[in-house]
Amino acid sequence: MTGLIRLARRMMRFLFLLGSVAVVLMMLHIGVDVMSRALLGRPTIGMVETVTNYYMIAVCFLPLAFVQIERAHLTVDSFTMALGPRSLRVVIIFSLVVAAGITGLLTWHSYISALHKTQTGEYADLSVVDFPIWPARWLLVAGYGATFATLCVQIALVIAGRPLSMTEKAHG
Amino acid sequence: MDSSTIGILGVVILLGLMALRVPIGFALAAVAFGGTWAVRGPRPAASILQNLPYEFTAHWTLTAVPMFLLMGAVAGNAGLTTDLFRAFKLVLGRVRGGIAVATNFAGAGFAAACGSSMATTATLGRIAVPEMLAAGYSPALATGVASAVGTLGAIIPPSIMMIVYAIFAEVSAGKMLIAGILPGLLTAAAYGLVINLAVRLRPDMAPAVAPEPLPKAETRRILWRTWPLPVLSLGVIGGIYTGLVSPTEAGALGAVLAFAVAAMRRALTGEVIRRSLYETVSTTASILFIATGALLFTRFLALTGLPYEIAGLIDQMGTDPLVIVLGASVVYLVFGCFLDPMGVLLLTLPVVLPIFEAAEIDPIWVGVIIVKYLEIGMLTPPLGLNVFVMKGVVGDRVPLGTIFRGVSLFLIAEVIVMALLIGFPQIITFLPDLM
Repeated sequence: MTGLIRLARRMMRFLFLLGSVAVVLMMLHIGVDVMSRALLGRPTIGMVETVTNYYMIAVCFLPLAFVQIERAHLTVDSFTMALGPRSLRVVIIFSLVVAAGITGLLTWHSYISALHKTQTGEYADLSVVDFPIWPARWLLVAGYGATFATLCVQIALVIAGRPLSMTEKAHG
Repeated sequence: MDSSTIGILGVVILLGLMALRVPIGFALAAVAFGGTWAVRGPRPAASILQNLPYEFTAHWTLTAVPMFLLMGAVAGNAGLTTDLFRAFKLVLGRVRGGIAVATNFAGAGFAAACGSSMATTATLGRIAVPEMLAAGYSPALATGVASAVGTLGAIIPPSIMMIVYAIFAEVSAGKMLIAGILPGLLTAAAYGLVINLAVRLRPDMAPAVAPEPLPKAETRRILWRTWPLPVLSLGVIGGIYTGLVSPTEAGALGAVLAFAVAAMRRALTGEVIRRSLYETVSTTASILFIATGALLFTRFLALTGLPYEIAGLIDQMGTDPLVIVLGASVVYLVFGCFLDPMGVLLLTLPVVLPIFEAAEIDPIWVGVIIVKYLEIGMLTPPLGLNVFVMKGVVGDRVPLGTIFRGVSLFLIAEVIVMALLIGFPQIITFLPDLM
């Protein structure tokens, strides 16, 4: 179990890292495009399509699972701060189950959508070439899927009375 | 059950889930899914989950969010703000309360490179507060000015809040950003005035400091070193204002420039890069996750017809637009008590935008007013996030209550600024109307 959790945490970190790479690529790609427009008088081809479909989707969805591990998703805790440890645990399990439920649905439906777009070969018409954008749909599936897996692991951890951060510091 | 009842029920369940610690992004999506199912059946509910998140996120205007965040993070972490603060201190240091005024204007300057209120506060807390405390300034004034001026990060362009508002309100992101300039400068001027009056009334708050005896060459060197930040901000704002570049492109170029300046000063360490990227990516992902949920929720509420019914009702009563804006201010102050400003913004827009539209209120003007209210909420208890950020930076040196007391001085300035912005909408609309 412990080894498995460590592996999961590493995987989510890796996805987060891919998101960071996408941010840097986004900056460079836009920079090159603006330079090309200013110096050569013509924009590069497919910059907007690449930035919005690939980099933006990667930055927004791949890091979601790690954000969940770091407990950085925005949460209101002022109404439940006064609860005792037992009822607080029930509340936390409830919130994780709701989150896991909707994330499971999002994973499933983005999977159906990605499958459909792959079969039909979704693309953006750039007039010179057809730029495929269906692969980007799978980034969404990966991001939601990883978040769903993380939430399931966290539910198991709370029930076992272990910390949600998925590090092995306490209760080890 | 008719659909507007389902709408009301949806809002109630949403608030209930949030109170029970379901993170806001998940709660919004869950209620939107369940509610759409209840109104229209399983197929439409499935279809909003299949396509909306992707189509909403793969949006050119939204890509300005990670680019602005990256630019601000690099500029802040690489110490560009430090130089600006030192330059202002050099000029204003001799005046009574000068370091506080310098903090104020350095903060306004940094806000023109940084799009987030908390990032601006944290940066100033690290740079300026220790200097003010060392100079014998009252801890309340020192932490108060740095927390308050942080709010300018979200008002003066670039601004993440303005971009997100522009997308939901379907107004030009460029105009929305430019609309923040004059209100931001007005706020900075009002803060400066308040500091000046306060130290006149209570001179013990800010003892006069003998200026450091600096050689001419050193003075020149400090002033010379400040050029990157003004160039960065003027370039970004000028580019957007003239329409030469879109906000996203301005952000990307700004980020490249921030990296380049940091590298030239040998400040671009692995730690600076790592921290900047971490801040950028985690903030982008969590904001966009809530925004996606808010979009789903907007679609669900629109299906129920609830926002239009409320808007129609308010319209029928012939309510004065001014009353609507003042009513909205109460709503924002209440929500601001237990929710992060970006959360409040995204949560309330689905309901308030149709109301503003029905009352024919200028969306850019009211957008700036809303962002101002949200930022004031960052300074007031119980959930004054800038104050908490400041507390995190100063640690045990200053108690939380003292910071809140220091901030209250600037809330007086905010009352006057808000009255001016509501009374004279031209302050907001003048610059974007010229575009």
